[in-house]
Amino acid sequence: MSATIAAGPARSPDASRIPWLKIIGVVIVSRLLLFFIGLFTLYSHGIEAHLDWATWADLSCRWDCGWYGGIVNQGYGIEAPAQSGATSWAFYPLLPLLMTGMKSLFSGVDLRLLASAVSTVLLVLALGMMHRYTRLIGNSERVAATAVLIVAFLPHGIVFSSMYTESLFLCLLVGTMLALRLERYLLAGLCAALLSATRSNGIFIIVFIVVQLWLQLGSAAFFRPWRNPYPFVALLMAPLGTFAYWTYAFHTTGDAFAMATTVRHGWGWSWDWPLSNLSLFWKTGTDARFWVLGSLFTALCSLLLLRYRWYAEFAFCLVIFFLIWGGTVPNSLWRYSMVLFPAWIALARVLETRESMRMALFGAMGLVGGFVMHAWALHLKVTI
Amino acid sequence: MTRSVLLRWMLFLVLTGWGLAYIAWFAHLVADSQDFVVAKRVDAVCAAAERSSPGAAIIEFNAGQLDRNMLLAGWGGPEDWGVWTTAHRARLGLPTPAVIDGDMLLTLDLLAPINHRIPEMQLRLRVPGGQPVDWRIGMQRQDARHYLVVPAELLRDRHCIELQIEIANAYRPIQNRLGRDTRLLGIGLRRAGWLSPRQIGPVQSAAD
Repeated sequence: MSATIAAGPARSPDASRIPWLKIIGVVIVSRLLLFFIGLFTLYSHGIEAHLDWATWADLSCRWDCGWYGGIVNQGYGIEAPAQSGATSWAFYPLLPLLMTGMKSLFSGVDLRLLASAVSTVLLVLALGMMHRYTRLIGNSERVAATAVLIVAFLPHGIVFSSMYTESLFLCLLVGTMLALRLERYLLAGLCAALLSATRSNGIFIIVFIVVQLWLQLGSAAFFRPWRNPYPFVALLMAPLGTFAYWTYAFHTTGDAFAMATTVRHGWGWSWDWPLSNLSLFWKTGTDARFWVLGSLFTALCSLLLLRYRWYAEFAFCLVIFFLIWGGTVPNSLWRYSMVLFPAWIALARVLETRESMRMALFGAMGLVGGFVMHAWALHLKVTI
Repeated sequence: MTRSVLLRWMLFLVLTGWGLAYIAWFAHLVADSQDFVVAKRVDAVCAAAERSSPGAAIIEFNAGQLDRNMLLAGWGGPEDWGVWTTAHRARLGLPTPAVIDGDMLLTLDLLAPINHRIPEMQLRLRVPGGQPVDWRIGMQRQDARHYLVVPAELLRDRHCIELQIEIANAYRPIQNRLGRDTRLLGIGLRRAGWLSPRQIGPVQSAAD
């Protein structure tokens, strides 16, 4: 089989077909593995746990999940008593809004469990669209399948089934990029607007949109937008989510940039040059080193995007790395970078004809993923 | 001009207006926003000062006794001895003295993180509305009391004031191979208080 694949990019004529059943199967298997690792961790530490939904609900909810749950239940303005300056304004509103809607539909269900289900469904959607995207940019079925497997089994993948923004962000990110590539600009704009309401760095999708429009339209049309302004609708729609949140924060607190304010006061976030920060993080301790290594690995994979001339995707990854490494707090660098799916597509492409490397990668991901899930179950800081 | 050309131009104008609206709205948000965490802390400090009738005497900044709202911005968590600034700019909220009989002296018991590599800390202090004052704290007054003259007009009819401190050469000990501390340390504050100049006689120098 690998010889056939190694022979070249044998593209299927039906590149738009998405293997939904396989994707659902992969997601279920990956979630079950995470659940069992979490369960065994709790057992082995003498913590009471059962093979039931309540245990899954508990296992899926750590760290920021509590903040999002607080916003859903009480709205914005919650403060952490033991963390001066830390407020729920640090968290963008789309996920809480979505969960508030879901909560009203399924009022009797444990919010954590509901969020886990919603995030998992969004992950399936994201992986389906990512499969389509991978084929669309000229990759084989094997590359698309490998990219799906990589994302489904990423270490720390539990956040894709938790009340975290990762699944929603990934779904909207792939949606925006796919719609733009398919020249469905209104849909791309809508996804981008929602993306910028999901997380603070969602607004930087405009970098992808600008570069992609330039490549797609050519310089002549890009620099003369009055000739065909319709594609630029996507660009103009993208900041809507961010502006909506800024406006809401402004009318509520008097501070449009309440998110930036609270992460500065409550989490000690400040700006410094990425190289200086990376050097600092490396000296900080084991947790920070883990985060740095994870983000560096993703960054290295994103460099492969240049090799395949996926410049717009590379530009987006570059800006996101500049942003996350520019903060003086190393927390969650790996988690922030794991949603940069173009890097995983590039990695899958590299592994297309390298079976032993592919197996080594999945083996390593299994080991690291097991460790991270173990740490997550025990509330260890490395999983923030 | 055909209909489609007209429509394209109209859409282009709409999009241009949309982009300009973003810029205008962003400028408005930037101009009119205020740090909501600091605003809340200032309110809390002023309200507490208003409630406590004798006014502030000595304020301890150690973990056990500190009202954390006073640390408006740029401070680390309070420790047993006091608190460090952890940014190049820090802001402190202080209750005004109970009795204001002329210009007052703000006493600050400071700890400067100086050593053979960083022989002095360079500070600029300012109370909004007043003139900035530059201090250089060297080895001899590394852990000592310092005095800042605050004009009476900045204190009257107010329950609290803000003290802004800029530390030009704040540094991270870990990056200077001076320890494992990753924080950006500028100056440590043990306690603060108010004195009338006549209580201590002529002030010779605010610092070294």
